Amino acid sequence: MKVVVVGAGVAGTAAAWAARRAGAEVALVHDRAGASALASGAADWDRWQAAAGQHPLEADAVALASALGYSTDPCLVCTASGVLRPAQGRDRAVLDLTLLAGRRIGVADLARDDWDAELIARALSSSAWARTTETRFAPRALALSDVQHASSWDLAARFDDPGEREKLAAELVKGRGEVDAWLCGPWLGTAAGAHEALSQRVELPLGEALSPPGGAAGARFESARDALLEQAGIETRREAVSEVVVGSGRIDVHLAGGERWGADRLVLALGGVAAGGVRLDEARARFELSLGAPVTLQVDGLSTDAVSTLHGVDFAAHGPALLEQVGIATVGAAALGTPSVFVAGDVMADRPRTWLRALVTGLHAGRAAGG
Amino acid sequence: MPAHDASDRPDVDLVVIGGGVNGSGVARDAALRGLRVALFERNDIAFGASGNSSGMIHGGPRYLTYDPDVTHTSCLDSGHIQRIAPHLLFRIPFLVPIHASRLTARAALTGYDAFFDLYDKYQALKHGKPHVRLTPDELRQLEPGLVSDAVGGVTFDEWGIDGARLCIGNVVDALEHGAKVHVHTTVTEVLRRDDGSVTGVRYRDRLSGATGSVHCKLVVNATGAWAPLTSVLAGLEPKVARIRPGKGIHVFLDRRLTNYAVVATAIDGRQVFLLPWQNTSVLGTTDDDYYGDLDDVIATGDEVRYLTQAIERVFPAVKRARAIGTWGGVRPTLYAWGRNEDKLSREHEVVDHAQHGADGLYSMIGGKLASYRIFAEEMTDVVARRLGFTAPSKTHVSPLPGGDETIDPLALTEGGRIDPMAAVRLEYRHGSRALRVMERIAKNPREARVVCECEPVLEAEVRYVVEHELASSVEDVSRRTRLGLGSCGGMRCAARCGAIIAQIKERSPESGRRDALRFVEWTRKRRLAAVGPEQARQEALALAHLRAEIGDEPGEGEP
Repeated sequence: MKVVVVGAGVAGTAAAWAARRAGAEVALVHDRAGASALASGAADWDRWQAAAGQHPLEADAVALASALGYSTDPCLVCTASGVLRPAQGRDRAVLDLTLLAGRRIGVADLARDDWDAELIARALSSSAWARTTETRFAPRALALSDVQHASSWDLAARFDDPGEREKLAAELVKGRGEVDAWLCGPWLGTAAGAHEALSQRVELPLGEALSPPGGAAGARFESARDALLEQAGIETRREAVSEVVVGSGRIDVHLAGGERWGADRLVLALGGVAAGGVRLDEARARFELSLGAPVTLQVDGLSTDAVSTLHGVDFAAHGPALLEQVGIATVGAAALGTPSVFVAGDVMADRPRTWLRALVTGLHAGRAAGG
Repeated sequence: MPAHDASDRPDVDLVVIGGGVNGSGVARDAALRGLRVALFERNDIAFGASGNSSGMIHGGPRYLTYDPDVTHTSCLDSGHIQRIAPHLLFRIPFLVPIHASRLTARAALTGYDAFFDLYDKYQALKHGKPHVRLTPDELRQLEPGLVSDAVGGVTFDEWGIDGARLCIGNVVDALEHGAKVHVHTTVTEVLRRDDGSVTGVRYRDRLSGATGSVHCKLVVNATGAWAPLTSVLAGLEPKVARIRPGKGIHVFLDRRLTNYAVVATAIDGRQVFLLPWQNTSVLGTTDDDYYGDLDDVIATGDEVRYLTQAIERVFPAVKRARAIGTWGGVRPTLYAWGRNEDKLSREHEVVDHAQHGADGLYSMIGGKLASYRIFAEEMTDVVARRLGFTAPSKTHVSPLPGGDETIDPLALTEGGRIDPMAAVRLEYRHGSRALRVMERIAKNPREARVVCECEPVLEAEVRYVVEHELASSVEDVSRRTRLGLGSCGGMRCAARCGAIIAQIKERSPESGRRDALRFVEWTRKRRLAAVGPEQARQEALALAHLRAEIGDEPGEGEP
């Protein structure tokens, strides 16, 4: 059984991993950064404000999340706007406040455009949780140079280097005795291990707030993914796919460079509109997949080609939610009408675009394709 | 009618209702002449047509054929505005390409040439350059993106302005000359004596709910498209302050597509344009009778498509450009039944409601951004004369705040600590008062941090407009600084701006987040009609990011 997976976000990675474990020969092709690479570091099943309780996860999902650097224990995390929120899991570098109730938490204060420690501490201190648990947040200045204009990604990458990391550690160590834990911005490394090394050195609980798009959490996901795919022996190629042609018993995947890959089964995990997997086609005035494939796009149960205008989709009439609903119509894990093509993640129609759903739908698609 | 009679000791001489360009112009003029003034604005300064116009104080060549007086007045006053607020003006040279597809193309070119000969006579009044007739080659050289079938074209010269900043300048100057300005405060009743004459207004603060009244000698209704509604508050029929409300929308793009404004003909023969404006390009405009909510004027998909379709015929790349927002306003044109919207007069007039039994109440009807100052002067002449103030108007010579001297924006960069682009934009908005914003940074270097990267806007400016320019919400700040109106749609800056305002106003961080979400929703509503292929992905990303950062259901963000 030969399976080709298109897309290397959480969904594509999970699909490739599961198909490989089911015994298939797997090749993965992906192009640009998608929603997983832009992720915040919080793992949710439903959109977080709609989240009621925990969604039970199968053992494979827990194991895979862990391999990708995520804990799947319920947690309390915060954002760079000083908003506290529950999550079903988190990138391990993100600070979990659950066990820090009633403690003194230092908010690392670097003069940066995207990190206002004073306002973040003010917002967190005034939260209902902090007031009930008497948890205190206070900004504490860190004396580090050249941090103001670096992008948050660059700053995170700087602390991958042990020498640079030591400078940060030396500042954080000064907090011992005055704070019980450190909340930092999303700067604690782009590779696995940097955060852990820092924690051990400082000997205080420390972690990040959630990342902005294109921040440290996305970078760490990418490095964990690359290691995982390599370890699993999955061939990966960074190239766009122009078209997939489904024949009887055989699928041809045409790469943009002209190469053609043959497969028995295909998993489409391209991401939704945010990732670029689905786009608005200008000439035909409707949503289309970013590659040619015999699948149907739908929104709210209706096929998207049923739009009679030359002038594009009118979002004022339909609302922006359309952007997070449009996707491939499916039956179980398979594309509607094309049973040898499986679908996973944000490219599935009418599902919440969340990290854990991408992971679980990826596992299902991979097992179905590989088995 | 109210029982009290406060005519002996009025709180102020004059109440102005409306914080658009006409109302703020009257408040300033009257305050400069020594009148005690109170201004009430139901929403924010420049909330209506003044802050949502085409952003030009143009002479209006369009009016030359049927309203030459409007052209003359506009050009003359445009010259005055340049003198009092030089920092706010920027030159916008226009191109009118004449396309070979017109059967009479050559005759049309000659016609335009002759027409702009006539317009040139007014250009000197506003320091504009005379028109030039261009060959097809010259046209292509100036704007390579134009379709290449033109037989030639002509240029003409106009001035761009940020209408909201113009209003703010007038309001701040009025404040500094003793006026009291109440924003987000709606007048609920115009109080009158038994004989019908006005004696004051009752008001309600729409944010706090607080109510009160102010007694005065005279009331000016400068509420633009709201004018008929305002006359009802005085117990009069709406028709005594009748206007013909004409909705106009604009679409703005993420960057400047052209250096010249380009004129095009829409499917119904109307003239529309693509305008380089501040750091964006603007497509405008429509003119349609409007019957909707004046507090919530929103461009529709049809209006956006009508403009895009027209511009595409002369500048095809506009179809692929990234539209990042729209704005809409309602012109308060003089009332006429049975006439096409475009042919309505842009003249203005003062209505004395003594003829309707409400002595002391005046309405300002009509007008346009370019002639606001002369209209305000005419209105203030009437009230000042009546109250015995003999000082003449000084608004044509007395500089608006920041317009007193020219400063070099690059001198504000503090040896590279401030981004030059941020400095240039800051100087544009505040003129010499940019120095006051920089003084804040000298005292507290942390305020040099950038809040909005797209515009860009520094933290010091956010704090300055909250403390000195009556801003109290993210939307207010955006009207004064253009924060959050760039290509990220407030995705990066709204939350931080809300937090800063909440801190200054001693409100809870939660209320700052709600404010930010309201703003994001407000811009999104104004953007959706224009979202095309290039913006769709950003839109989806912004949705996801904002949800991750502050949530999308205010008040439920905490466990």
